Amino acid sequence: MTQFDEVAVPDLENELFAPYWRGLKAGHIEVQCCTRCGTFQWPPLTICPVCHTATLDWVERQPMGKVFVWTTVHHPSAVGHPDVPYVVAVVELDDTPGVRVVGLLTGLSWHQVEAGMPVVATFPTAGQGQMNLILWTPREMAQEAGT
Amino acid sequence: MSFRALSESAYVVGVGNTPYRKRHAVPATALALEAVLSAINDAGLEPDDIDGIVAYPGHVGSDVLMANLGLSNVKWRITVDLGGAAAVSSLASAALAVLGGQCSNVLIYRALKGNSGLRKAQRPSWLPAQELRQQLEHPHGWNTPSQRFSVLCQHYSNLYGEPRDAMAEVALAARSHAQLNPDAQMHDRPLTRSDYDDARMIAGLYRLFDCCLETDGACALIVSNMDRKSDRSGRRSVEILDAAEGHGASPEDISNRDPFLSVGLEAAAHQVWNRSTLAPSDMDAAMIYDCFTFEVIHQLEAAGFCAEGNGPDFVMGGRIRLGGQLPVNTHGGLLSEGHMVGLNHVAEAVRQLRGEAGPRQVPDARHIAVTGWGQLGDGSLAVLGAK
Repeated sequence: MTQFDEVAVPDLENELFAPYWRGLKAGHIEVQCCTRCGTFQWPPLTICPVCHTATLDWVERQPMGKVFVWTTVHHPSAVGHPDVPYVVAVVELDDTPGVRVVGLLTGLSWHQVEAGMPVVATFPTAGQGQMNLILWTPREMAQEAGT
Repeated sequence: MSFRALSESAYVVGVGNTPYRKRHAVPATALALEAVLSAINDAGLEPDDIDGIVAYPGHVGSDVLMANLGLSNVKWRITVDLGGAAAVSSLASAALAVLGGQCSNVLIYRALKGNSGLRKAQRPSWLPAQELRQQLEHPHGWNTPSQRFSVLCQHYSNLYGEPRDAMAEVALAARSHAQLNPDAQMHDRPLTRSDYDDARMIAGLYRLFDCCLETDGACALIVSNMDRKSDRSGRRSVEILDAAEGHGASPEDISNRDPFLSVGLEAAAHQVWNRSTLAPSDMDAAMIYDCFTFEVIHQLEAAGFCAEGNGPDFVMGGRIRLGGQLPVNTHGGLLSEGHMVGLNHVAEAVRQLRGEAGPRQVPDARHIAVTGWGQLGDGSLAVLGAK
């Protein structure tokens, strides 16, 4: 039994999102990149919204970023997330400016979260091992913990 | 050529509603019929005069209404699916239908048991891009409107400082207005600043009283090419002077939006104010879609009532209360009258412009702006005028 076992498992084979889930399972964050114009696209789309080419690659990005914005959930509502408060963070990736990835944020109290805080991702299992989530941790703390 | 403009103006000629309550014993269809019949009566029409309907997804179906009312003349029926922006956008669609000669009398309504029936988090969601929500957001514990929209409030706070006093003022002004409105769900339930401050936290900077109500009730209005009852009785008629909508960049996703606080209302307001002889400063009141307290501040900025970053100062000092420079949500809004997805905001504007708002009347109100905020940042703005 892990913390995220009861999280509802979406359709992991969904054509648009399956590469995202495969990436998390392998321990990294992948986002879309247009094979023609090189634009990074997130969340995933069917074609490139800039040049409209239908060929979008999935490319691995460094699991490092800075907190762009966040919310603290005090009133539980999401399946598999009964323990409040918890923090959901929108994190802008260091190596992909403009691309922001949603994950949980842990390792600090909710009122200590600040915009611009450097964070690093780990990928805990969820849904009884069927998938992995994104768990951001302040980089300072991750370093202290030797990870 | 028969597809041509047949009317010069569109009017809101009838408004009706049930009382807004936490629990109504009767089914939503009965609530809908009560509100619709009240609006038809208010317009001085018969049910069979209705020849157009603008419906809303997830509420009582328009075919159910047609069956119950025995409507035989409906020839134009659409659904406007823009969440809280739909009420004002429906007004625009209905106005175009009567201006274009497709219909003479268009019904718009909302009816739901939003509190005693399935609550928001349990009802099917009509938000766009459900796949995206279910794939990227729900697994990470991000799934309600308060959680989703609290990031806008948080980002604004990061830029300009936390607008706590202004958020409280929006909540308290709405509640004080609701004390003058017997139909309001929060009538006879005044709110103090310490009640506001002591309330439990919901999501991000939002405490309980920053969040709108969930309501049992119904609201209806009728848009027509002429106001027969006003013509007969001398009652002021209410003209739809303009209405427009706009959509946020990346309309299916907030998290990657840039600029982050950009919303469709900016584009809607740009259209309306650019083609109008009226300006925001000409408005005698404003009905602002108040799903959350900060969104009133956000929309006052986006609609051009004040500059970005000045919303918190703008709402202070009594300006948005009755008697102030720009009374906002004189019915109590979604925060204190009830959640009719913004149609109640249009209904209140009509009553104010007719001079029928009783103890909460804005003296000699001639022009009122109404906003809608829906989905992930769709926005709409209407200007109604009395004559």
